[in-house]
Amino acid sequence: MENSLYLVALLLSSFLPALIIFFLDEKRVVLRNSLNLLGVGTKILLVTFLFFSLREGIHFRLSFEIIKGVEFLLKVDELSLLFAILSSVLWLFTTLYAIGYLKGSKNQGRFFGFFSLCVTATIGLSISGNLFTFFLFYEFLTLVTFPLLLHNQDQASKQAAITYLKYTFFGGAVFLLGIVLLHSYVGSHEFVSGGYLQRIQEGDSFYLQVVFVILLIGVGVKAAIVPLHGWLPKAMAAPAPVSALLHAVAVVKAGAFGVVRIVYEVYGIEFASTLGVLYILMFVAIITILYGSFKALFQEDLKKRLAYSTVSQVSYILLGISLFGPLGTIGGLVHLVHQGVMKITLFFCAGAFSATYKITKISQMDGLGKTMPLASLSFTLAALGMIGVPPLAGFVSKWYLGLGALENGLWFVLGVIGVSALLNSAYFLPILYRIWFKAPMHEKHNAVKKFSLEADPLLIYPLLATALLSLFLGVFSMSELSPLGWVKMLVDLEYSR
Amino acid sequence: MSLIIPSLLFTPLLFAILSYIFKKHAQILGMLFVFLWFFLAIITCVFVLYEGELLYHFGGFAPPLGISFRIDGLRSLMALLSAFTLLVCSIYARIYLLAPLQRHYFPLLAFLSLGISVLFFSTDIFNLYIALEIIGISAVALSALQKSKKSIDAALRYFFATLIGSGFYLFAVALLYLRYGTLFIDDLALLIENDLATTIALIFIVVGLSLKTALFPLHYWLAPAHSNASTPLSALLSGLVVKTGFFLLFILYGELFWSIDLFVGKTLSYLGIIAIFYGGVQAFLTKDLKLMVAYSTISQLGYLFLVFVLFSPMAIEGAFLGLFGHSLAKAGMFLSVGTLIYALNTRNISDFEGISSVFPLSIFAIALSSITLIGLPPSLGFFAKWYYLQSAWMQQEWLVMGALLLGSLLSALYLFRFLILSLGAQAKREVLIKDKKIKILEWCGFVLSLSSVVLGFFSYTLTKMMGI
Repeated sequence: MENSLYLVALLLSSFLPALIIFFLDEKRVVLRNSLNLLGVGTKILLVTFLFFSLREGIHFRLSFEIIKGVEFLLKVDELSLLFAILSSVLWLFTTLYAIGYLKGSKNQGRFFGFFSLCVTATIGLSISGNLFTFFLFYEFLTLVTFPLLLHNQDQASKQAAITYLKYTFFGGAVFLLGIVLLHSYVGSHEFVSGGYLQRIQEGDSFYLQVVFVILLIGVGVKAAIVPLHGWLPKAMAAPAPVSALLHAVAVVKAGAFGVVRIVYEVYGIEFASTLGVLYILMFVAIITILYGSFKALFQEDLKKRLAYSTVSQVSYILLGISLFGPLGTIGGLVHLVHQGVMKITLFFCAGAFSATYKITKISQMDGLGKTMPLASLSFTLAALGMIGVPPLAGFVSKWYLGLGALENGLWFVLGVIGVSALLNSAYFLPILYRIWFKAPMHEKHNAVKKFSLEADPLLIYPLLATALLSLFLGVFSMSELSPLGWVKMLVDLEYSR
Repeated sequence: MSLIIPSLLFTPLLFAILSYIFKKHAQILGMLFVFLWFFLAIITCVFVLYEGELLYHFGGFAPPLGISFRIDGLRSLMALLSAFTLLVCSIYARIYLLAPLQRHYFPLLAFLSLGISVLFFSTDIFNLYIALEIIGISAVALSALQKSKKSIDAALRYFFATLIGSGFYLFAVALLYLRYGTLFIDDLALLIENDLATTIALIFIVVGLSLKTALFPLHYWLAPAHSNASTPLSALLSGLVVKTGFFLLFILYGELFWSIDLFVGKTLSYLGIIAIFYGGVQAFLTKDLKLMVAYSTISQLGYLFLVFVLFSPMAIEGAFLGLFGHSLAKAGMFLSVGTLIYALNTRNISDFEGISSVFPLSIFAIALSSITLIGLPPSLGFFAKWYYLQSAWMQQEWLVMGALLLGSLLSALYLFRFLILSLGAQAKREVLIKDKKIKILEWCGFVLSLSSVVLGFFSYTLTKMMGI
């Protein structure tokens, strides 16, 4: 129980605002927004503090026995900070964006309340110290995102919410089964670098392989691996800030992060490699990458195309994990951050387009570069990043993924990365062409409202910020404080044992 | 502190008689009673926690001559749970029920509490019969409080069920007394043998108490009785009264029959599995909101009966965590649903579309209850299922495991259907009543539902206190 108060504070910094907001009158906009921003600010300060403390070797943990032999355990390690920093920074931008996006709409109290709870769940996931605690927050995340999906209150969002619940409850039940199987086999242990199963010498390897597949299905529902991805394209019925959060940090990343924890800190990468389960993961990841990119080609709806793009991009993380060796791991983990920043930019842009000119279809995007230059520029940066154009963030991840594949002598993986990059270009470049080189379809006076900027400034500033961030993440990737630097240090830990 | 047990027994008796005589002050006396009883239950719990088991010989005569009462960890927790539920439901009833009804409500409530405390603490099987009868009759009277044709019909059915149930039980008691010559549980436990008379007694006890606990296929009376009683009473009936039958069955089975039983426990559990699915499907099919909640009770009671096939310490802990969770969640759900029905004056599920924008707190409460009923973390229901799953896995009861996993999905189906509906667009019907009173009603349901989720964090403490 070292420094446990900081961990409680970390959770409360978004949980308390949520509680207060629920009981706040709908009309008290200023108070609500300031509460939200106060929570965001506190969280970012705390996370920064944790970051520098951890570098100095100070530990943070909180635990109590919740079932006989099973602990509720929160702790901060290198991996949790990677995810915690990502989610709190992106929460800041999304909150600002959401304030602008939802200005004047109904049920904002409910929205921001559940929104903050959603962030509480992701932070909880990041500092969970064992599988059981991880599962608690994993299910909590399901419950608090479901009202957000329903926010628009129309038929499509209802369908989306129902589909989402079907998938995630199934996933939750399977995940629980996996945890129970593992628990009855070896008991419940905390996550450790290098994995704890590795230390169990005479393991029944077939049993552990089966458990791995069960756990993978459990977390795979949220990570949207094929064929468990069906909820993600439907979830587009939610408002843009929700989609942004869902795709960048909250739900899909929770699944990917779960895979990271299971492979590196439960099984241990070396043990997983000897068990041969990495090949299963690699197979699934490759199928998902190709399928997602391929489906994205045929989507006319902008948000749907982005959704299928997420399906494929998140599996880059899994692919990186499945490549044994430090380089592949670096590629996978760093993509966890990079994909989040780029994808949130894309969704912010899509939301800004639809809020300002009611654009939802790709065919309506002609000439947007003239009417909304800043948003279009950001969109372009993020899309090029997704394709993997240097020096943007996406290039760095793909570079390491490629090196990882070569390290293992897996030439066909390199081929998959190449094909996927081609497909990425095939579905992003036509959009960019429409934006910059076609005659404008919309005149400035067609905008829903008049603004000093090209759209509501609260929509434009956050998306500019995340677009620049995705540029900086690439350009300054060699800095020690960049995600890449952090991930490199992390990888040393995972492979040192 | 030898006064604890008599005070727990005599306080309800005293207040029942007093509030019956001084009818004009029944409300004040009743409220005083529920608070006092809650307070006593807390003291008992703390005392048992630090001092261990309490024994009290009535009039100073030790059994087998006299009657003795016992409070251990599990019993003190049951008492605390009942006192808490009674307290919240009574605050609700104080506002919800019309004044003339309250004058009947509070004396009957005190009688009900008397029955409940005798049933939890007594160690004499005949004395337990009396407790069953007190509970049964006061519960029937309470469920007929509204005096509408429907509720009288339902109460009458309920009355016959509980009468036959106690009759079966009494027959078994007589049989056991003839065979072993004692009524004291601890003595019986030493003497018990596997012979015909004992087996018949076991079967009669099981049938009688299953009827009272509405185990499938003896559930026919529950749904109409629970859905037609007025709201705070539905909550009490579903939250507490059916649990007393289960508790008695569990105690008798565990102390007397477990060692000699070959097939009854298994049968009970498999009927429980059927109940889980039958109740769930019925709840999904019905269009009446209160009936849905009542059918959900039938399904949830099925989970409790799973304990009889496993009967490991872990499974027992799971069963009682589930019992606590279900009591609080279901009482909270009935109260919240009742508030909505009161405000809209309809029971048709589809009329509640978009109601969350008018009564967010009630919907929040229903959602919290749903979390417990489905068994999602971190609620008590989740930990109940965790313990069950572990136990079923170790004993290789695959059927039980399957029922636990699929049953959760089924409950999720009908509970989330309502939640999604309530979160939809604009309310269809106009809200008839919206005033300060409703706020308090909403909070009552919310407190119960919330406690069923939050207590999950303390499940380890609870299982330690049970001392199984």
